[in-house]
Amino acid sequence: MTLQLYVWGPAFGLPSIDAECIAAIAYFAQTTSKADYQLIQSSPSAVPTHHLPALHDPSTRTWISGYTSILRHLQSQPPPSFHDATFPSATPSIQADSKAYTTFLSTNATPLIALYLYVSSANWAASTRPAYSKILPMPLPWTEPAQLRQTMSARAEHLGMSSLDTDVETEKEEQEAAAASRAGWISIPASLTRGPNSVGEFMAPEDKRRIRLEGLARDVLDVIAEVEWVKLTVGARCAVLGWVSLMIVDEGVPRRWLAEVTRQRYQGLVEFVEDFGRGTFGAGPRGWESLPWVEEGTEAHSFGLKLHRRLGHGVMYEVPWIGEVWRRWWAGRRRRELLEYKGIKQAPSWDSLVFTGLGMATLTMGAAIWYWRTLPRVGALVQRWEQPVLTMGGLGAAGAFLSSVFDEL
Amino acid sequence: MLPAAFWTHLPNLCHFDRWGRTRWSISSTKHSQILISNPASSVTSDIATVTMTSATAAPVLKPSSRPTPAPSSPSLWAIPPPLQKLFNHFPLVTLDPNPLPARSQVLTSASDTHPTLYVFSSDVDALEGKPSINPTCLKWQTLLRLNHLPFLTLPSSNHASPTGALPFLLPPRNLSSNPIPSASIPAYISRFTSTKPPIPTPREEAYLSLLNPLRLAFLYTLYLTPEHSPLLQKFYISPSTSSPLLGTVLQSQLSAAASAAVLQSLGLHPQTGTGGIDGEELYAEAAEALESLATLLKESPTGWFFGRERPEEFDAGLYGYVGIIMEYMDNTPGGRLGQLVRNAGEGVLVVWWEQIKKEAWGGGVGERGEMMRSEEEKYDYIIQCVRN
Repeated sequence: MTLQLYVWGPAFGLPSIDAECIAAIAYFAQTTSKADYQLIQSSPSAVPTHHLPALHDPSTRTWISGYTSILRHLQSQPPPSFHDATFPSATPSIQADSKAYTTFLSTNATPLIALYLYVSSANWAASTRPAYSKILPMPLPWTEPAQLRQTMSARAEHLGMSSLDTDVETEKEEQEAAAASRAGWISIPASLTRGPNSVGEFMAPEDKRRIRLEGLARDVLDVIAEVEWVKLTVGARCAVLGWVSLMIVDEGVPRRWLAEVTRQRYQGLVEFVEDFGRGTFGAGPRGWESLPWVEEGTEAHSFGLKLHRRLGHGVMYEVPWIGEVWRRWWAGRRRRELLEYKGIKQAPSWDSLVFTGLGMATLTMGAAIWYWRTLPRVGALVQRWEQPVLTMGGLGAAGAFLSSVFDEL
Repeated sequence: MLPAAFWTHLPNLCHFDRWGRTRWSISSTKHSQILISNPASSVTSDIATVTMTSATAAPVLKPSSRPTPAPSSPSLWAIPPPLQKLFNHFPLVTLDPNPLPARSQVLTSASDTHPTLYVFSSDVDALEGKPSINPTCLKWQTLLRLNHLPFLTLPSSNHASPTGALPFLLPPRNLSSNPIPSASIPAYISRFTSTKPPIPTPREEAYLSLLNPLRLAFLYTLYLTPEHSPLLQKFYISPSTSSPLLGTVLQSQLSAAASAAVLQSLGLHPQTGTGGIDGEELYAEAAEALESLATLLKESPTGWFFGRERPEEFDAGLYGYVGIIMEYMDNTPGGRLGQLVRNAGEGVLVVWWEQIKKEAWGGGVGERGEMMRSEEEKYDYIIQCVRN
């Protein structure tokens, strides 16, 4: 049965916009015949693992996401045409080195790419967001790229370079200025304050922090550049192809510090990556187009979500306060579905009960609010007109006597 | 400098008696005569004398030479002798100043001579210098011990740290008051052992990243597997709070933080929750990482990583995880990590673990932690901790 590899779509002249996805595609292209797998351009909201690349193996009913996990699955349950010359024949030492360098790439190179293409406002606005708009079907560019940027920024947070995100910086400055004018006695109109008067104030944040950014890049690239990738396993070579080919992306990128550092200082590495890319995907600039791409939704065993549901969840995530709870609930639900699909019995779900309870609580609240609004205001003059009922009982003992007399009559 | 005339012509010394009257003394010989008879009032004069002595730096008046009461003529203002006698009895009892709290006494009595490492630990364990229960803290603790640098440990929390993360090292008070963050501990060690701080080679850095999958599996095991919540309770929650309500809140916060850290490393949105984490894959990844580390260890002729003569930072870093795993997550329900360590490289890692344990913590836990205080002190302190 054909395996299905869900990946991010192509961008920057590369088969995918994500490093792990490029590596996974390259590994499939290197080891498996085109008849045995399908490439499906998708996004994390469609797959139950919430992360790409994701591999769906219909024969074992499993979903695996992440590059190294996919490699492990392929090596343990290989499709018929699978052939990795370096597995398992490579010596344990080479296997260990390959594992170490692959982990190093995913741990340390991803934050760099996050800084370069996601955190930097200029690059995000000019190249990355348009690229996502191209590869996502229509309503999804409204919700998904912003989420993705949050995720990637979190991965680069420890490098302390959030100032590349000038949107946040400008917002902060505006807030500070507003707070100062509110607190101060005198406000000076903007036209009278001085403009930027030092070189630093004219410079882009990337240029101001160029030395530090280059330092960060060199810390990572010094390690990668010294490796003899040819001697390592195919898995490690595909990994370096994935990560480094995104690092040297420079078409349409306005602040190309990472590409410049890599191309200038690590030519050997860049040459190796470009050669290996040509060898893997074919000679042309877009050789990867000949791989077995399949339209989403037309694949043999569709497991992806429909577009409107993906949009709905994306919108729910953006709701403050509720979004977080919703995301967690939805991820948990998808994990259950996944395990049930694989045939693992799950404890009965409380979802319907919770939702019924929530619905009833909302209804009760609504009814209570409606009732509250219909009540007269406290202290308001309340007038009730009632038809007086004429009975003999109102006349005291005489009335009682009279009424008994009337009754007897 | 004072003029020479200062020494030849002694300055007039001014004294105040207890009623505020000024009395002048010209020289030390007259000094004793003009002081009033009341010995209690000599306190003021003593102070004045000492001040002058220190100001002139000349032994004009020795503070030890106590003025003898002069025979005084009864005056209107003099206090009647019987009353004076009565007053002399007071104060009846002078109590000693209150001692500092036991906790701070331990700190102050020792930190004059030894640096203090602030780690995640319980009060009693820290006092005995036992291994910390946090991988990063254990790493630096082990590294300091491997280099035979004496230090004290104190339990603390991230809020106390200047960098926002434990551990940090507070040097002895007479050296400096600036805390040393964990990243600067290698420099501190190299200063005291006069060795160069090792610069990691590219290959070492690559292998160092293999600790990340191990860390993720560790976080998953400790914080996100229900079997290990008693352990979490013991490690982090009981030392922080005794209230069950706060404990529950703290536990959920810790679990949320751990799942966010794991998700972030996996490339998922940090708020996805545990539904986004596949525990099996984390364990498989950790197993591969441990296997690679074991292969690396087999290559080394010395038994330490990268063929070093002595265990160094890399060994200590791995021990931070392996030490805790083998101590608390081995042969326990849900303790799969211990089994992974045992399986790695046909037991090479276990041999290494036993060796480094012997090297760093051999000869009984806490030999250095105990050496600067007596058994009674320790006992008192423990009693105090238990009472509190």
